[in-house]
Amino acid sequence: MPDITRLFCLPVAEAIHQIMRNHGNTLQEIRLRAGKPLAVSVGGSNRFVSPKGELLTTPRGALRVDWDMILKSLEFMSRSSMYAFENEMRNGYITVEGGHRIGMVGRSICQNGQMTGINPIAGLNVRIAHEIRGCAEKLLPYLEEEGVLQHTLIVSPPGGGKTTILRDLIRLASDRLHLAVAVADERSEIGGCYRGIPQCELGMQTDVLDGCPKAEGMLMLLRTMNPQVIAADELGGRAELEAVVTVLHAGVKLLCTAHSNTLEELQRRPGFDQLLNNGIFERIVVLSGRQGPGTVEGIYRRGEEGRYVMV
Amino acid sequence: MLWFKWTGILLIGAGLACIGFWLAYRLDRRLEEYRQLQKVLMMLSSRMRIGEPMELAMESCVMAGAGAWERWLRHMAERLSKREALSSVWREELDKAKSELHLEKEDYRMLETLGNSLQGARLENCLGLISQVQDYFHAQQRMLEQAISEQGRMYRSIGVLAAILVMVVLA
Repeated sequence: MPDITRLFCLPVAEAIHQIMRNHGNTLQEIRLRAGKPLAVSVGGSNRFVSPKGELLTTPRGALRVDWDMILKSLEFMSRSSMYAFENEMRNGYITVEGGHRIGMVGRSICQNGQMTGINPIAGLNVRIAHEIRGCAEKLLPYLEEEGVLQHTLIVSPPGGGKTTILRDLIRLASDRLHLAVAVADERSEIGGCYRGIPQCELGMQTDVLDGCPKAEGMLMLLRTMNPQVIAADELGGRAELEAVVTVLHAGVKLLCTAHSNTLEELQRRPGFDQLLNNGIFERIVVLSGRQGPGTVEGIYRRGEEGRYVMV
Repeated sequence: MLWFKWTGILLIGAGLACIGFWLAYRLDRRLEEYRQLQKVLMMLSSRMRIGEPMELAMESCVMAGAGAWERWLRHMAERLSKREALSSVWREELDKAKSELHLEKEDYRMLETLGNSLQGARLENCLGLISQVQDYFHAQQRMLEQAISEQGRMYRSIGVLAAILVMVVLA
C-alpha cells in the first residue's frame, strides 16, 4: 500500500510520519481543520498532534492547520486533479490511491437542491484503509459448508473493519479456495486501484471493476467475467439490492458488506428487511469496534425458514 | 592577401544571409509551436472531460504526439506522478522549456496563468480556462500567419540583399 504521508503537505506529513513509526497500524483517522490543531484517531482514542508527531491530550503545543495546508494537501491527495473527483465529491468524500477515504467539509455548492461540490474546503478527515493480511483466516471456516463458500454479508458500524475483512476474504477466496472472484469496487476502497490496477493484495484470481456503480458493476461482471464469487462493499441502495438478487439467482456466490450495528437493526432497514427475511444470505458476520476494529460480535447462519441462528 | 580578403567578405555575406533566414525560421517555428500547443490543449481538455487525472491526460497527449511540447508534458507527468504540486511543476518545467521554444513573453505569461488556475478548479472552470487560452493562441496563430506571409519573405530577401551589398562594398 502506498505511503500515507505522501497525501499531506510537509509539516503534516512529518508529524504523520512520526506517528506511523510509533503507532503503525493503530492510526485510523487524520483530521485537518482550518485554524484548528491537527487531530488523529489512534486505537479508538482522539488525540492532538505536535509538529514532531507526539500525541497530545490537549490542543496546547499541537500543530495548527491553516487553509493553505488543507489546499496543499488536497493537491497531493488528488494528484493535482480535483476536477477528476467531482462526481465523488457530491457524496462529500473522495477515495484516493490506496483506498483511503477523504471526507470533506466546507461551504457546499448546490444546484437544483442537490449538492454538486464543496468550495472552499475547510476540513478533511482522512480514514486510513488498512490491509491486514490474514485477518479473515479464522473466519473463513465458518463461511464454508462442505468446502463451498456461502453467500456472506459482513455487517458493522463505520470504522468496524468490514472493508478490511472483506478485502482479506476476497484474497482467501481467490488464493486459498481457488475461486474466480470479481469485485465491483465503486469507490476504489477494496482494491485501492491506481490506473485500474489494485494496489492492495486481492489474490491471483481476482478481477476488479473500479469506479463503476455497484449495481451496474455487479451485473456487468456477471455477464462479462464469468466469476464464481462477486464481492461488493457497503450495499445500501435499492438498485444494489436488486442486483444482489440477480447475482444470487445466477449461481454466483456473494461477499458483501453493509452498515449496521446489529443484525436486528439491519433487518429493520428498508430493502434489507426483505432480503434477510427471505434468508438470501447464508452467513452473516457482525463486527464492531468494541475491542478494536474487526471485533467479531457474532456469526449467523441461515437456519430453518430463513431465520438466522448464531454459530 | 586577396584570398584572405575574399574569404572574409564571403563569411560576412553568408552571416547576414543566415540572420535573415534565421529570423524567418523563428517565425515558422513559432507558428508550428502555436499549432501544436492548440492540439495539446484540445487533447488535454478532452482527456480531462472524461475524468482522467492530469498526469495521465498529459501522458496521453505525449503519446498522441505533442511535437515541441512533448518534453515539457512528459516531465510534468513524471513529476506529478511523484505527487508534486501542479502549479509549481507547470511553472518550473515551462521555464526549462523556454530555451527550446520560440514564443513571446505574453504567451508564456498566458500559459503560466493557466497552470496556476487549473489547480483545484472544477472541471467546468478548467475546461473554460483551457478554451480561453486556446482562443488566445488561435488569434496569435492567425496574426503570425499574416506576419509570416509578409515578413518571412522580407527577412530572407533583406538577408540576401544585405549580404550582396556588403560583398559589393567590401570588394
